[in-house]
Amino acid sequence: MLSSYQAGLVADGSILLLGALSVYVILSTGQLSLGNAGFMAIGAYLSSWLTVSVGMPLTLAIVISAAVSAVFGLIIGFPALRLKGLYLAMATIGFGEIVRTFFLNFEPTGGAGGFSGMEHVPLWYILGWTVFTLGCVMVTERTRWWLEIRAVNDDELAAGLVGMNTTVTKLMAFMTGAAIAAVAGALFAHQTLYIEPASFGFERSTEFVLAMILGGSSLAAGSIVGAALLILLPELLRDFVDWRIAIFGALLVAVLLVRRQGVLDRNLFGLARLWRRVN
Amino acid sequence: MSNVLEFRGINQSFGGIKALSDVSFDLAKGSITGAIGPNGAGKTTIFNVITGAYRPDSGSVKLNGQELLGLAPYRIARAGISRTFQNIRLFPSMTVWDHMLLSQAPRTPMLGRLIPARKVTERAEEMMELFGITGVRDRIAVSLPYGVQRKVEMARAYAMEPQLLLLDEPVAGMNHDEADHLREVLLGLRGRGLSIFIIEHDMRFMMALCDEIHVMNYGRKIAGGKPSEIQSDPAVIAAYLGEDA
Ligand SMILES: Nc1ncnc2c1ncn2[C@@H]1O[C@H](COP(=O)(O)OP(=O)(O)OP(=O)(O)O)[C@@H](O)[C@H]1O
Ligand SMILES: [Mg+2]
Repeated sequence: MLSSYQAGLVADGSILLLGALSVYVILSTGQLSLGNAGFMAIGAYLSSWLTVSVGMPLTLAIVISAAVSAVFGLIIGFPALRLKGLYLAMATIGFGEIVRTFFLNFEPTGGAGGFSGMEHVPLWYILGWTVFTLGCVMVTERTRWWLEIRAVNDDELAAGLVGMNTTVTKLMAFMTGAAIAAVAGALFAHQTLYIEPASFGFERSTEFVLAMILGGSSLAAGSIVGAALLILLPELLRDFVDWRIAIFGALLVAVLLVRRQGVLDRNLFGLARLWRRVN
Repeated sequence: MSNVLEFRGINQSFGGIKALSDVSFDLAKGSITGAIGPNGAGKTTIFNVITGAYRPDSGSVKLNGQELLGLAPYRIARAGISRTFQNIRLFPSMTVWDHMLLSQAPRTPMLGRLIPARKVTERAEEMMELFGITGVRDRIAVSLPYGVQRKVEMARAYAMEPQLLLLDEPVAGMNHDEADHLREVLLGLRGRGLSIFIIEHDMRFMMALCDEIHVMNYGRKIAGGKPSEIQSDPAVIAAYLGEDA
């Protein structure tokens, strides 16, 4: 059996993996979101309020929170259609800050004091959601839907001229990413049992992006590696105490210098397939 | 014979440049029509207007009587017009096979896009066979030689089951034999009822392929007719003097 400390690490890793996937789905259409902590906050607060104040079962609360967050994803997705690259990233940071500030000042959910009263979820429940979500994304990756998503990322104009409604594709990606981030938020809330606006700041959003880029941004499986590295490395570096964050940072830079595409990439998998065929 | 496309009175300007001045022509159904003219004459601009990439200042473009101006490019593509690009535009992350599957997606219902149906894979294979790219099926398309990339683009365009196929300088990057083979393929497609509109500088290729040719110069259509008529047209000879003629 896992010690409660180890179980905590697995739970943190799962939630980080979901966060990374939420960025991955959106980035796959060429849109970089640095505001997914905002969607996470919506999922965390709404699901907690539903379970604590309304008395709703957690699973239903998570589904509702994800749906509401998806609506916010749609709302953000529209202006995002007109923004590219850096400007879009800035706008999503703005969104994240708006959500955080909202909960900071929204007294019904505790404002700066935070919100508590949730019941602890078992690890298997968190793992269940994570495996389910990861499975959905990985299955979708093998469909023609995903080819359309990649086409939008590769060359949006050409995608339109090949008959694809790129607007719908990009909006759907934002909605899906927002929903996944909300699931991460809901699980986080029911694992830590206490949430406050500071839990959903800019660092959280960047952590998601970091895990995804580190692990490999061209396939969902990369996020598994990225989330695991991000959770485990600080643990392994425990002996270095004061220097551990610096060493961690240096390792990050090193990985990105050597493999800009992240630890895993699509071609790696392609090579493996080729290898099997040759032998 | 009825017209598949009616391109009427189109004006398109960019700042001070008049890329198209009152250009009109019809494309007969089931025919191969060519557009020729010196560099910068406005040929590619015509394609961009037809496919909805540009919004002209005035005029009308009709596909089988349906007005296309104002429609989003993806709607025009779904209405039955597909194209290739002068500067090849393949999807950098995708294999040849991916391109073949993807180009059929817009015509498949939402759920049908999850798993490629047999009909889809069969058509994909047929397309690769037709354009002679079966051997490079699993290669990343943009890593292939230029001439092969052009074939992939044509196969992608034709896989969309268009009524009208627009080809922008498809022979560029191909050798003599490849060009001859392509001509046979295109004549075969015409035999299946497809209408083709093609831009090309290679006169030898165009004369033996087209039913009708329109000649552009400085944004105006200066002549149009059968290849033999074009060859002896004084305005055309004048436009090409100092160029190829
Ligand atoms: N998007 C644009 N913005 C500004 N000017 C443009 C644009 N598109 C085309 N033009 C101009 O319109 C004119 C016609 O260009 P077009 O690309 O249609 O020529 P073309 O006949 O295809 O030439 P080529 O044989 O070199 O391909 C050129 O002067 C070009 O600079
Ligand atoms: Mg051109």
